Amino acid sequence: MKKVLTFGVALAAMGSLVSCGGTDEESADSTSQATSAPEQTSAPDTEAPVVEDGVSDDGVLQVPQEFDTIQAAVDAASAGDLVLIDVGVYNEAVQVTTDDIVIRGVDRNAVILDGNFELDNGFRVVAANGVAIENMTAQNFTKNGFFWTGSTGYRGSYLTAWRNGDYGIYAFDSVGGVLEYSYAAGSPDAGFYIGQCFPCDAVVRNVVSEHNGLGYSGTNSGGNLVIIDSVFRYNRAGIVPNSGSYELCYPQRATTIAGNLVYSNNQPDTPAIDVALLAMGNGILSAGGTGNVIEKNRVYDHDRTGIGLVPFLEEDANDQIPTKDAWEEPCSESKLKDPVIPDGPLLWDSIDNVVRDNVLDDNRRADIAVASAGTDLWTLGNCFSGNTHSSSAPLALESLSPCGSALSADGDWVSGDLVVINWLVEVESAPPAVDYKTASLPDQPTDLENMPDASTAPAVPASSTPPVVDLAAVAVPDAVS
Amino acid sequence: MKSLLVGFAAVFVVVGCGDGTSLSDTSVSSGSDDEVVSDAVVPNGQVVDVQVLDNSYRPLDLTIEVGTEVRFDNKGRNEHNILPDVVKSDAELIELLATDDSPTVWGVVSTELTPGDEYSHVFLEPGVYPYYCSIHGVPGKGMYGVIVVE
Repeated sequence: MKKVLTFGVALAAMGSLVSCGGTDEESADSTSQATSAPEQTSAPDTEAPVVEDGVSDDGVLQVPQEFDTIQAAVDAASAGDLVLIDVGVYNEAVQVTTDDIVIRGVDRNAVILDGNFELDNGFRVVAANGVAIENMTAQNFTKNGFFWTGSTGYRGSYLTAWRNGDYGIYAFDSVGGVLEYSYAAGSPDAGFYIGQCFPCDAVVRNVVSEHNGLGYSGTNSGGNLVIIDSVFRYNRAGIVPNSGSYELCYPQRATTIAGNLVYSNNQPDTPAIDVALLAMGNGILSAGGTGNVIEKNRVYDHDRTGIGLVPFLEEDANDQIPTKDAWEEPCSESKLKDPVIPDGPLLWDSIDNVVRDNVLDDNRRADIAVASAGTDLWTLGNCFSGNTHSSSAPLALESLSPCGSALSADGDWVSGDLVVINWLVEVESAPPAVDYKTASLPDQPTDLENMPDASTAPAVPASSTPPVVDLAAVAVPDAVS
Repeated sequence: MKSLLVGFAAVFVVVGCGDGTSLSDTSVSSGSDDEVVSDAVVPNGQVVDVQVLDNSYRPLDLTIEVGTEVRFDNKGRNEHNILPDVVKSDAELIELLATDDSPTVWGVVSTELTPGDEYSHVFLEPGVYPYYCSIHGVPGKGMYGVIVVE
């Protein structure tokens, strides 16, 4: 964060130019380029796809069989269509502006978009709704692997983002989303990001994020946003929601982080933005987050905190911190308000968060922690209960701030204080960020789980209504042995 | 960078006003309509700020009087650019700026609008000036804005 100083912290059974069999004159003419099977021209009982210029109208646009490039297929697609990409390496940056299409690779590990460190985004979906991208890899892009912005309804499934220059998988100013069964590694910002949305109505589930600056980042996002059943490991920092007026729709709020395995986020050799350097060594870190529920996660092996609630110090801020009565205001309204430029830096405290029933171990500074820079901690309304832990900051945190009870100034809120302000100094000696183009990464996985029946499954555009997550069924995941 | 851009805008001002004739009877394409400007316009001394955030311009819509300076300040964490809708890329803008010195040609490339950078332009011709960031939007979608000069 260069200027803003920061916080304290899916073939379809198609091969089928065959089914050119329309009986009408137009279709017979249009199939002249197809060489196959005159016997197929006998009319089937059901309407068969028409082929024109080598392209069938069956709703499946094949790359490269029918279209030389992914972009050409995407541009030709209509709502409900499936762009189906065959095995190969595609040096393309694809832009999507058509609603309700599905773009799918036949093999997640062998359909590869490669930016060669020259192209910006693997996919950029701009203000198109209901676009689903499935089963492929985007690597070596200067910006993002997969990027949705201004979308209502989005889905990324079985995606791999590898060594991209900003985010791996990035949903901005978008609502109604699902990111699932995906993997991201080697980005200086976050492997996964959902930001500037309220309510977001989104689910991140069954993902793995590693060797990024941040495993997950969510600035000014929340409201029916669930991060669940995922693994965040070997990043500088694991899961880091934060508030800040450098994006709209502040503050960050109402996100549920549950059932995740978060470990060893101290990785010193990753690419990293400055926030990642500052947040390094923390598992789950709310930096100015509000009203989040963090439960039933297993968090271990961190140099600083397992779960920390800390402030975000924003210098040169762009608006005042909204008062609590404005926190329920949807993003669509709040972002239209005129700002009031503050006179000095803003301190976004973490407020009203619930931390319960997590299992924490070997988080060297503290398993669970809450901190501020000048605000009385008991006034922040954060609570901690039922966590398996051996250390906290302050020392008796669960006793001081149990969930379900009113907090008070009584008790020792000082001993063991995190002294989070020191992080601003310690960042100066943090292992420096490494260029994402050359950062040391593990061998690129080549056997990541594929979407079932990727070549034949029908196209299902993204719904704007995310799946309902049964939080009661979430369990603390097992540790990696 | 900041001073350079401000200086660049100032050059426009000088070019637009300096010889007293350059703006007169000049057919310009600003926004959707061509029009003939019959009177030279000079900066009116007013300055209006637009915040360049991640990934929005605030305010998104802006109406100003002719001669007003609009100052764009990158207050985000990422680089952005300001491209008139007719331009598709930084490279196109660079070429346009190098070949067309009319006062309706404006904008700044991403390498010159990194966090903390500022860009100013004095709008000397009435019209509608739609713009966008090619990194985070397309014309009229994503990160975009409109300036109406009256």
